[in-house]
Amino acid sequence: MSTEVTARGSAAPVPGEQDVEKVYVASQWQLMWWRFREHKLAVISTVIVILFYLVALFCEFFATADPEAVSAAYKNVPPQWPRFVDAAGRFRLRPFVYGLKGDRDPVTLRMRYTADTSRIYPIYFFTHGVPYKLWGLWTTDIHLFGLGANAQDGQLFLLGSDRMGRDMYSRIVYGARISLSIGLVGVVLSLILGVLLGGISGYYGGGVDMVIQRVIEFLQSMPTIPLWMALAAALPPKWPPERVYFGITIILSLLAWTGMARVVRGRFLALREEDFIMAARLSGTSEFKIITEHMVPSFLSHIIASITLSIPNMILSETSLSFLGLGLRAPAISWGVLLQEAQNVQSVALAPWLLLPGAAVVVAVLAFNFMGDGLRDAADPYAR
Amino acid sequence: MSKKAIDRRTFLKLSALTTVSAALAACAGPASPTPQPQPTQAAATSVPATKAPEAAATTAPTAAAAPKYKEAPMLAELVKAGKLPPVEQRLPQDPRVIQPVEKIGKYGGTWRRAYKGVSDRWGPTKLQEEPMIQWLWTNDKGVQVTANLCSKWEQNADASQFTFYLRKGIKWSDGEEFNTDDVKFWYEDVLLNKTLIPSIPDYMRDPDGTPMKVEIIDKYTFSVKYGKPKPLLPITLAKLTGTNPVGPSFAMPEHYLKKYHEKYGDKATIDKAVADRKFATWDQLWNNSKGDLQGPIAFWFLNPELPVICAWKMKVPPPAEHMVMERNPYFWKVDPEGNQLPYIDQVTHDLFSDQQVFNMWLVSGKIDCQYRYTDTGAYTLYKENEQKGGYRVLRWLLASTNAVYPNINCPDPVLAKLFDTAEFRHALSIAINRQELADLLYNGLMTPRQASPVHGSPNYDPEFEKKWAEYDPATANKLLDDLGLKKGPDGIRLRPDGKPLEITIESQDTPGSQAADEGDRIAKYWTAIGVKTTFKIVERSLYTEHYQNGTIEVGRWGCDRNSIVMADPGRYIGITQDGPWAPLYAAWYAKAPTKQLEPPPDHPIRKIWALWDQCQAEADETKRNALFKQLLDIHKEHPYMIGTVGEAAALWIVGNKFRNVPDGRIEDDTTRDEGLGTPCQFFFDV
Amino acid sequence: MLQYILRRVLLAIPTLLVISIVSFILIQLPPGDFLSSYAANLAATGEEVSGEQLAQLREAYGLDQPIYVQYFKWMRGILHGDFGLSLEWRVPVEQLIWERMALTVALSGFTMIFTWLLAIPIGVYSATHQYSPGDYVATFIGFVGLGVPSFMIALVLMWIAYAWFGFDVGGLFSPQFKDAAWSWAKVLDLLKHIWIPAIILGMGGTAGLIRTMRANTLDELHKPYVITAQAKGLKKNRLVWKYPVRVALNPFVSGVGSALPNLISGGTIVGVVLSLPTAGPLFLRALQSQDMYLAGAFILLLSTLTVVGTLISDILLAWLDPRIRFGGQ
Repeated sequence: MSTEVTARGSAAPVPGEQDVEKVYVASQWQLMWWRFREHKLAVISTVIVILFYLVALFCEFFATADPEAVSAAYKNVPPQWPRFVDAAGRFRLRPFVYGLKGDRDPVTLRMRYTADTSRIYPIYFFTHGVPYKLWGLWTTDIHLFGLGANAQDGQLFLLGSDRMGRDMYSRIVYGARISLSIGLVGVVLSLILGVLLGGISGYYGGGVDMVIQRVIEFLQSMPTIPLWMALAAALPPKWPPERVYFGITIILSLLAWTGMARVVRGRFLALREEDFIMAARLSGTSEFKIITEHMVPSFLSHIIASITLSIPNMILSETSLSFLGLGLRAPAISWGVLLQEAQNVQSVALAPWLLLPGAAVVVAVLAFNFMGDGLRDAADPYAR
Repeated sequence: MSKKAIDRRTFLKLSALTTVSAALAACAGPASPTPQPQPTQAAATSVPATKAPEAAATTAPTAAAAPKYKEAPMLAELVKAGKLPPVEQRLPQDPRVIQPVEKIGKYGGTWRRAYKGVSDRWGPTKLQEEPMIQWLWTNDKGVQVTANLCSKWEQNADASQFTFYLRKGIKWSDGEEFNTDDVKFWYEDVLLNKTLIPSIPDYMRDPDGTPMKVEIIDKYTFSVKYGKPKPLLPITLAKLTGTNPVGPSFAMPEHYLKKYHEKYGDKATIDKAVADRKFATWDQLWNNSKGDLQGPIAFWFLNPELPVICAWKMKVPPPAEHMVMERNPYFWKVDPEGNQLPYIDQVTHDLFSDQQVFNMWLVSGKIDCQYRYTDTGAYTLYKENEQKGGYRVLRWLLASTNAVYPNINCPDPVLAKLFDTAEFRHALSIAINRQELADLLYNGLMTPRQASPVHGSPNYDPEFEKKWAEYDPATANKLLDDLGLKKGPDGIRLRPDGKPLEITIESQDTPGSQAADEGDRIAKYWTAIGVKTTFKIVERSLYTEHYQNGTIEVGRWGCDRNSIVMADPGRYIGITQDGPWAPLYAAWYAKAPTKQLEPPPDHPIRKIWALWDQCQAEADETKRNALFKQLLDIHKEHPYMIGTVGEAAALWIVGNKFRNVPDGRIEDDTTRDEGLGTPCQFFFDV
Repeated sequence: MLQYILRRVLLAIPTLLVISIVSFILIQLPPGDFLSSYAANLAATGEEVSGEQLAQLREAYGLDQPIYVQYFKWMRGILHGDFGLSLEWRVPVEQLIWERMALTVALSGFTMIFTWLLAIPIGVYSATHQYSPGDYVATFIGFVGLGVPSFMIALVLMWIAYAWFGFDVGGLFSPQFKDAAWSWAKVLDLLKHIWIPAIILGMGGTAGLIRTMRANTLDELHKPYVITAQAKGLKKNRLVWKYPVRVALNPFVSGVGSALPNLISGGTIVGVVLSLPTAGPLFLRALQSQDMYLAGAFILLLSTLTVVGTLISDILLAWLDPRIRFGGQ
């Protein structure tokens, strides 16, 4: 696919004398970094990705409520925006939300919420809230922001609530942890397998190449959906849902390595004939050293770009699997599960904020893609 | 219409109404609300209604000149062209008169609906089943049975012999007469033919396996004889249409089906039909699975050529994207003014697979009238789009209660014993906050209650409905403490053998559905009283496997068929295994081919079965009802099926121009779903 | 060259055989079989199938025999051109698949046309006006299409089309045309309905194409011959479209391999959400209900198309780049 194609950046500004020196003596990685920095979109995206992972790591801290706390009184609340100006026109430095008053339409049974301007709940930062165990180790109850311990009836539904009154913002934050992390293992595994098998295939050629090629062709010919279904069914039913999904991503990665392997093989085939490889061989370098010190670094850029570009694929696959009923299921919380819960006309028509996990997926996928683009552009600093 | 006709019409209406109410008042005699044979059936609908046209004929002087029966314009054209006999010759001598729900209807229109494919045969079938004896909804006495294909039936004193008097002159949809030749053919060559029907359904034979005997008395009369009494036959016939979906019960079109019967048919024709469809044997033309008569020749749903006696004939069969059914010109029912039914010319079903597409069709007004597949979770959506979509939402009462079923046959002996202990189930039941479930999950569209017969059922019992249905975790804890199940340091109780008390609720619900949410909440309620519970959704086939071999611990499924319970008491007896409270015991009782386990001689379930056996043989109605009440009381005393919320609103989406659709009836498979609304009298008011 | 082709074709046959075995096993892997999901589905709508009936059905369908016997029966049938009977639809498998082929190919064709019409100009524009706001906007739109889960956007678009524009949604035809014979009116009706699925399906592909076009064109734009041509006075537009774009299209050749099977199964999830009468949803349903012969036939079809597609693209590549042809030595 498009991973084989290298993108070219624009001409950098003509360097002065001293800069030329710096460029000449800089290491490969430094060059990569300088190159990468120029691609502004990639830099922003990297920041976003890092932020996402921070949130995923400390999701309990960033959340404002228990993502599983239900409430019959606050079902399908629209997003509550924090305000700075109250009903009397006064500006308050500290953002706040109004209390909620819920009314059920007797005919359509729809809940309508109005802001009760008489109840004001300021938002505090680094406040006390629902207690939790960070990574299962430390018990604490500090959250990044919230209504504080004294807000009795106050509700803070930043991104609204779902059909059981659960806070969407907290659920999306908790979902980040699973959605962002569970693909990583699969990607690393498929990377290892792909480089290994593709490299062997491309470097040695002949019979080995033929066999590996057939295996790759076989695996790529099998349509994915039946494989997903069969594998999902083959896993022991006693497993908890997270372990099942983990198992599926591992097996999926056993299928996904083929793409990487084909690219690596193609690269090896081309590189084998290159002059500098012949020179290395003639000068007596061992095969192993040739591979590791000369060949691999020259397509390292592809590998890095490939990893970053396969993570969004894993995230999207997770949502597809949930849609098909094969992936994670409630009560596990992932973006795929949240989207599955919102996959009905009544949510789209009456509570569209339930589709916000989709926005999270889009942002994550975009960020990884731009980051990968930037890495790929930067990764081959010697090419022009 | 001339002024005279309008006057006559109003007069007819008035006289029909008065005679009907008089008749109803007359047969208000028997107190018990259960379906009654001999005394009331003759008075049910046919008699008073047929009086009306006669009364009109004697009073309006010009009535003799006007035609007795009227037909749809599209049929009138065919008659004019000489392709159809006139309506008087198409109708029987005494057609059944159907009282319209709102008013006399108008001819014409295409009724648009949706279906899911070949396997969704019951949706279209239940719209128009024609059994010998049919359900009749009455506004004051609930659901009764009434003579349908027959003009009346008689039974002997001990209900071992039933005589049916067919309406004279009913014709199949191709014009051939329907009479006892068809009954004889069905009995001798289908029911008793071991290739076609290897095992006779239990309501057509004695308990020892002897098939019933059918005796043809004359062209329009036949009787059915059993060795032992079969007092439940009338309600069983109303609930099923015999081994022949859509009807008629006890008969099949002899003149057509003989061609495909091994005994009578031309071998070349049969062989060709078999080869064309890549079958192996001739009976595969008749059967899908042995004995169900749903093969491509014998099943109305798949064969447009098959003569039928129901309101609409198949024209474009499934699996078409756009399945079409067309009016049967020989349909034998009329309205009180003599208009031949049905009013509607065509019924079409569009194929869909995803529920959301169907919801879109509903709200955009593409469906004229349907209950099947409507979604209570989308109630607000349906209501909010009523104006834009041009429809109204009707609510029937679903005769079902969501329930959890602790399996007293589960393989873990400690759990099995606990589940079989009344106090344990009591604790589990009152630990559930039903009101919260109703508010949180169902927006009040379901009522907190115990698994029991619903409002409108002759077996409805308000005490049973409330039994163990309060929310009282304190008492629940005390009950469990008294059973010796001490709480461990983490709040989870310990079993008598020292292990922590952990159970799993399994279900085949769709993830993300309201039922799945309910399962999650029940698990939380039970964990709160010290019984660590996990709720697990499993693949459908896995669920079936688990309850059939009894390995399930607690099942979760609706407890339905709670309208006319005696017609289908499978849940209370246990043989409806997908509510697995005693699946292996029940398999033993039913001599099922799956795993069996014999219950100990003093187990209450033996009493339940004994009572049921007695009911099935008790000809006296009052005694029978008393026996059945005793059976239900065993459940009432210590429920085995723990109900949570039930009596859901069964939603009908009905276009504003679509009329004669009743509101507020009971929705149950036993009462044939939408069929209870008598679809042949629905019409388009344009 | 001929030798190469022959070799590849001969190798394809055992591959397909292995695929057929593996796919047959895969279909049977989920617990139960067609009949258990059949019974469960019936139970969900309130009907029951007794254990006895299930046992009889099992015998009638041959599902009670060991798996290798079923496999051989199936293979034997295929070699005679008989792909078996669909257990759920009760019609021959060929009929079911064939009926849907025309529409599936039409939809995929539309999607491809839509994708190319949109992506290639945008990609080229992006490349020639690199880092301009237009470039960023185009890239962004392309990527959004890449990141949005298709089932979600299908549902949202379906709702918007109805709620805001009053369009007919769900399926590819209005009711009166569904089973009607082909006519101009029917084609027009199809065109009216096909654009929502085509847009949704195209969104993901468009993004990828835009990026690839952009990258490839950029590659070419910096090559010496472009600078030479510009120096010689060739107008930029004409220059771009005449030379670099053509070269940039080359890598698409390797994409042919996956395009073929994608024709059939590409729109599965969207097809399910929109209830389209195409092959993808039928395939998914066959898998879910374990309708063995239908699912098996689909898998064989898709795998064959993949193998053929890969073969074609490999041959094309070999023709273009002799090094690969002789690579094994």
